[in-house]
Amino acid sequence: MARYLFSRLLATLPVMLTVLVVVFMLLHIGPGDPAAAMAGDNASPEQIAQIRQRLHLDQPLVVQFLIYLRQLAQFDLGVSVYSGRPVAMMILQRAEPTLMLALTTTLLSVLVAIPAGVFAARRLGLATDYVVMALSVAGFSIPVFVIGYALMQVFAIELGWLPVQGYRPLASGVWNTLRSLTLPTVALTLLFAALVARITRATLLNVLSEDYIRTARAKGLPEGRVIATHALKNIGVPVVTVVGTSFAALLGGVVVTESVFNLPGIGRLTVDAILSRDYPVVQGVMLVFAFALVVVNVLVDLSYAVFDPRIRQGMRA
Amino acid sequence: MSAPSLPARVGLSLKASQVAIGLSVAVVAVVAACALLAPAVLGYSNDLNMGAALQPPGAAHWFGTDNLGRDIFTRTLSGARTSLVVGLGVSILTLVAGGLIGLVAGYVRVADTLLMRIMDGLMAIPGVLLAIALASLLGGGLLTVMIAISVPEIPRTARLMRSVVLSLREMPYVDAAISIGSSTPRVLLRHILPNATEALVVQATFVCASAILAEAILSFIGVGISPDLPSWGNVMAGGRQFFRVAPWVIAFPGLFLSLLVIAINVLGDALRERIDPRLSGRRA
Repeated sequence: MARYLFSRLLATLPVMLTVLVVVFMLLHIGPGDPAAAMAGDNASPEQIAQIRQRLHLDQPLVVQFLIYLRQLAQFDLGVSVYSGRPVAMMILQRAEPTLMLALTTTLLSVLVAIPAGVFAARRLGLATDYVVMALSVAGFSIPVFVIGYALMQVFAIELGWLPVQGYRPLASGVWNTLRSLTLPTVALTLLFAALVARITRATLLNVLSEDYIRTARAKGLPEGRVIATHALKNIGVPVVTVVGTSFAALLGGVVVTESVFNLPGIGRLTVDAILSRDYPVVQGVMLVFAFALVVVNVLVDLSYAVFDPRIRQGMRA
Repeated sequence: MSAPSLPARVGLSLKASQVAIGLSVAVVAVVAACALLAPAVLGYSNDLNMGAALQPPGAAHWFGTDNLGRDIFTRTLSGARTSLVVGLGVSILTLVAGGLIGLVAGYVRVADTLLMRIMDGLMAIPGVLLAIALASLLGGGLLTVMIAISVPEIPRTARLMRSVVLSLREMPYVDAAISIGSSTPRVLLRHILPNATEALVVQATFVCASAILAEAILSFIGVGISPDLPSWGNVMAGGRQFFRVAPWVIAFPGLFLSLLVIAINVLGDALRERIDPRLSGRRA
């Protein structure tokens, strides 16, 4: 297991190195001088020179990259051009709404999507199957901000059941936090759950045609038990895989959802930084999100051992 | 009453699929007609009319007006052209770049590791975030937005193409071509690429749908195409601040966009099932 984990972590090194290069090069691919772009239209030459010096943009590209790597090795994501505050600190301070939104969305998606996918597969070709499949196509086809505004209009503005926008931190009480996250979570869940429900249904349909399912049915096991004890165990790997691979879509959705619902999280920080051309912040957030994705993918790989004994044995070997 | 038998259900399922495909073709045809005709017939409704700002839907303005008094009906129909151009443009860019990378990675072993590690690295950054950052850096023109959306889409297409090429390269006809002295470019272009196009065409439909959504998100965030050239995304972005008093500014273009993306996804699924029924329900 330890050897498998080590080899898996080793495999992430080239991926993270590519991410580092891409994120570093972001500053340099735009037209013109990045320091002038960050300083804005009304900046004096002195201000531009100051930014250039602070970000080491006056050094050769290779030297800049080495300085960037050295900073990262010290967990230094740089300093915001505008506020002058460390980017790592800014991200940490904005982490709570984002983590809570990602957590509630993942939990709600799994709770809704897996039963929906199982239900649709068991009722293949019937009305419930069509409803689940139609909802899943709609879920990843309708922009999350359209769903967000529609939910806001109905449940916050018309009915007044939930707050329109904003976030109540955990310190104000879990109930308040959950209330403020209900609409953003539902909006984002429609996207995330759609992907999980589709793969659950498709995988279960494949599993239900296997010989061991026919054997279980031939032995006289009730259908519910066939599903629960024989079929569900075998859809774990693909379902966990799609939860992991959809995590990128979830993070992208977080950026948009936080803007719509005015949540002061990392996504909102990113959008504000992009609009104000505060590129050190943008680079910092991209690195943190990419790192989170890589970690989730490693966890997904490790979780295969839980669902499939053959993989568990392979890891021990 | 008991549930229909499995063959009967499959029959019902086929009928429902045909209805869904028919409706999807109709939606795409209507939007394509709007994209072709609306800008010429209706114009882009860029003239400001502050006296008619934020008018609700009615006889004078079927879909209402935005905060600058521009007619949402006209801008929605005309915006179809921009959204469709982005969808098709990104599909082409992605297929060419991703297809080429996947073709080389799948066939030339020495290039495989390097190219795929780069693709893995790009895939490790959330696509929307990368597209937003690129659009902001490159500027808000139509072409730059298409490039910004294409970059995160390329790795997925390259991965798909590579997997197809890896299986095709083991085919006897490829061995036969190599044995009679065909050069690598000839094997790739004459024997492998034509057999990989079906998978690429299916992928193109999903990329097109995804690109239309991404353009809307970019415009909505404020780094997309300039509002002088209406797209569904930037028409909706204009309604953000006035959502509580004028929800129609987001609702109508949002409805058109959602219907088109649903239609393209349904057609993509149908195409995929026709080409390879085993792939039904899976996405690249």
